[in-house]
Amino acid sequence: MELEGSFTVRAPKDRVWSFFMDPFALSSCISDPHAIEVVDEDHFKGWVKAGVAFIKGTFTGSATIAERVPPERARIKAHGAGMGSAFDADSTIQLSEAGNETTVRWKADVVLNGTIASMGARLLKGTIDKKTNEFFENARKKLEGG
Amino acid sequence: MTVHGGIGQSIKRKEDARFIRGKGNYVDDVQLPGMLYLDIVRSPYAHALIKYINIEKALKVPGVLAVIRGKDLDAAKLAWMPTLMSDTQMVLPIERVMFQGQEVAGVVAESRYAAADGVAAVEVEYEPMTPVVDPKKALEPGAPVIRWDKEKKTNHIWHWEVGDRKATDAALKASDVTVTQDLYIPRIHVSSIETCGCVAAFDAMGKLTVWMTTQAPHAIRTVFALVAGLPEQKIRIISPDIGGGFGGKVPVYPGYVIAVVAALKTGHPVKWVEDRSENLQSDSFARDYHISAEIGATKDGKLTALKVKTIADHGYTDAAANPSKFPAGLFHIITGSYPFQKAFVEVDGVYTNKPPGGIAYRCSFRVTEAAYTIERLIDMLAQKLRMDPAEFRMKNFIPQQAFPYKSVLGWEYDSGNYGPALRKAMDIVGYEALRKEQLEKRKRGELMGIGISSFTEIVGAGPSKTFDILGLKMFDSCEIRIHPTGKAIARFGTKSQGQGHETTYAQILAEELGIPAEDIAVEEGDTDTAPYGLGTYASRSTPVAGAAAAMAARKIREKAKLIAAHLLEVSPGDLEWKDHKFSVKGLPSKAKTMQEIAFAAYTNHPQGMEAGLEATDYYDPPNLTFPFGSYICVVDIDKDTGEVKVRRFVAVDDCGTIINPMIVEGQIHGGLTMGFAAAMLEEMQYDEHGNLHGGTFMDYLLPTAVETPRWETAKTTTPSPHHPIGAKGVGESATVGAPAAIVNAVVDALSHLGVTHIDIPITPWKVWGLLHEKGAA
Repeated sequence: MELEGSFTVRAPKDRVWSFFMDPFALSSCISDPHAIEVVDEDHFKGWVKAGVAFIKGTFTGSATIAERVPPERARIKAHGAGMGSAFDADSTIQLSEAGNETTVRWKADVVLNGTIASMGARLLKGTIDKKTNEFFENARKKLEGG
Repeated sequence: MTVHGGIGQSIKRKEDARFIRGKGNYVDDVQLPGMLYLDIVRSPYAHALIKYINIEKALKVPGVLAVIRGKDLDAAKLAWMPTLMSDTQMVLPIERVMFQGQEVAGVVAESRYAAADGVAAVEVEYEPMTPVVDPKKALEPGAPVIRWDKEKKTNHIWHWEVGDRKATDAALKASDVTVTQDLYIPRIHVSSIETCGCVAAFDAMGKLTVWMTTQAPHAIRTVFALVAGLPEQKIRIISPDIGGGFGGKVPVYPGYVIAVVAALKTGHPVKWVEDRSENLQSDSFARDYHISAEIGATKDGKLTALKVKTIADHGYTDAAANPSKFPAGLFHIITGSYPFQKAFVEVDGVYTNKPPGGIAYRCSFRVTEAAYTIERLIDMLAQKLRMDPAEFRMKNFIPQQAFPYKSVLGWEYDSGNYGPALRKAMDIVGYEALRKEQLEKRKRGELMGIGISSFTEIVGAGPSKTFDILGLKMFDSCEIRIHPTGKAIARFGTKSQGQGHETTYAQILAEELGIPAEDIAVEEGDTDTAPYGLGTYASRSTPVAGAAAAMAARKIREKAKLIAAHLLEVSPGDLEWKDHKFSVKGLPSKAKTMQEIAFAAYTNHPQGMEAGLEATDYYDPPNLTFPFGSYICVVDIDKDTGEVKVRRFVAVDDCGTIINPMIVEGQIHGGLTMGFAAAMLEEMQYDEHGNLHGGTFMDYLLPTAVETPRWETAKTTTPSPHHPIGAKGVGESATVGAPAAIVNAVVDALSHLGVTHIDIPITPWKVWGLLHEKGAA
């Protein structure tokens, strides 16, 4: 599943970059119950309690910053499993500045397998859109608020 | 004089006394002391390498006692097992998974909840591989070969063909008119109300008893003995009440084997029952035939030739439940009700990363696929020739005087009389008036269509010279014991899954023995007590075990005659079986009933004769039986929404001698509903990663009473000349015949727009799209 979008935030590019490179700042934008552990600068692992419709449960996973071009572009790969399901996401973010605003363009290729793909297919796109919007809205609030 | 409950009487089903009061005894009702529960870890990937399976956390879950992996089974050479088609399938994988939902490990626990928690705690690390989802792409050069374990490095399993290719090509070339069409008959699921499951228990003497949702308990016992190396006398398979089988409960599923291993490992009885999603994701599917067909005729509408090429998607192993010699089942019944002189059929089996199967879903070995294809092609040809589809069929039917009819693809049809069945359906539905109505509606821009399907079925497998499963010949059996008081018990090698065997068999015996049906107990499904048989599927029970019932009863009558002669002090030659008793010829008042004879068999039998009154028959049918019918469907289509409404559906069936008309009608209602479901709703869709989109009844559509049309049924009766009571099978006829009638009706409604074919299922979305494409909406 290919997803993409963008959002604009009133903050300088350097600050947005640092925010996105800080696993704890990012993790604070996730509304679902979760925990994160930093393995090293580029590797993180953790769990999140989430789901689609009635298929809810704990997913454990890991993320790697596969590529970083500060303060412009980064590529993050994530893998997770749980509830008889697995997901793999390959995403990039691209930052650009105009005036006092920074625009973040993001793209993600998400592959879902197992129960969540099999049973939640009809509701998946809607749920992912909702969660993604929620995440970036939280990020925007935090960046603009502080 | 009739006997109560004899042949032709619509007596109420004996088994319903328990079923309608919720007192059936299904596998999940079995409770044993100390019983544990098995739940199964399943693969999220359609194709992946297994890097490791970590069970440490799972074993720490309270209540979890054991986790079974492929490598644990491998020690006992049980990681793989044979399929019914002599292919191999994994019980549990060691290195690779081959479909989404495949069994990966078994967790045994004290409760179902603990087992489920244990499943969630098993950690499996996979390395995903490219899945092969499309069977056509699976055959392309460079496609990933999914069966790494096979010597042959290809996804092609087998090629099978019948008929004369050259002569068929020549006949098609010489035909005035031909139609070529691709048809996809999608993968569907039997979706029995009861999912699969078992309870496995070893007793103190090491005897294994398995209560199992199986349609073929005896064959399962033999397979268990051969695969697991257990002595066969130490295996008892009990198939209790079954909540629908439809072919889905013929195969041996990994869960059964894991449960047996778990019982052995833990020393406790172990129960395994699938949930609905597991059932949909991993149990045997039906259909999945990608067909390319060509049919020809002369310009005045006489059929000339038929050529059919098919790619059969079997999933990752060929686990079809077909007779061994027929990898594509009885698909070569595809010439149907028509006397083709030339025909050629070829099928190629292909591996894909999908669950295995290819079972007879109420379609006796690919007959639904065949009937749908030919009845669709006949309509398309009629459309091209601008002939009425009823008239076209009437012109081409195999004539009654041609029976027994030898088809060009090798079958010998036992009996048939197709014209009157179609005429009867036309009269009931008011065919000519409907055609007038259709013309008028077209003028007003309204869409209605009339569809016909005049199918020929082939059931009752089968004669031992050609029919076997894993080498076991496809006979079936009946054993009768008459008690001193004139009551009886009869046991069979088949197994009812809701068809009403306890009633139907009792009625055959009542007629043959003069004992009321309510005095005859019928038992099936316990391999320790029932005679050996190949089970119930593909409409074989009445043609084979029903025949065994009649033959065993006649053996009883032979002995009974000697006892009657002894009691009446006459020579056996002076007696005749009349009005369900033995009477002296010309002196009907001097007679002995079976009840009197039975008492004498234990109290006053002739000197030199063995006491008792029992008989067993193992019936090897000389041929299959060929039921048939003509169905007419009338549809109205909403132009704005694309919704198809079945206004009327008339089903005229001919299944030979009818034993219980009410049961037959019930079978037809059920079959029609399943045929309707396949035509309108059902399809197991897989995404590009091999995930099934339809793992729940929210997403996999089955009709409820709300969607189901009102069925109008009628019959003609053309007995089978070779069956002892002239009966044929009927369980599958309606599922075989219905889809084409519905599709033909929908295409008929749209034919003036240039529509010639729509693949099933006919969803409103497809119809709406077509209406827009043709500028009619």
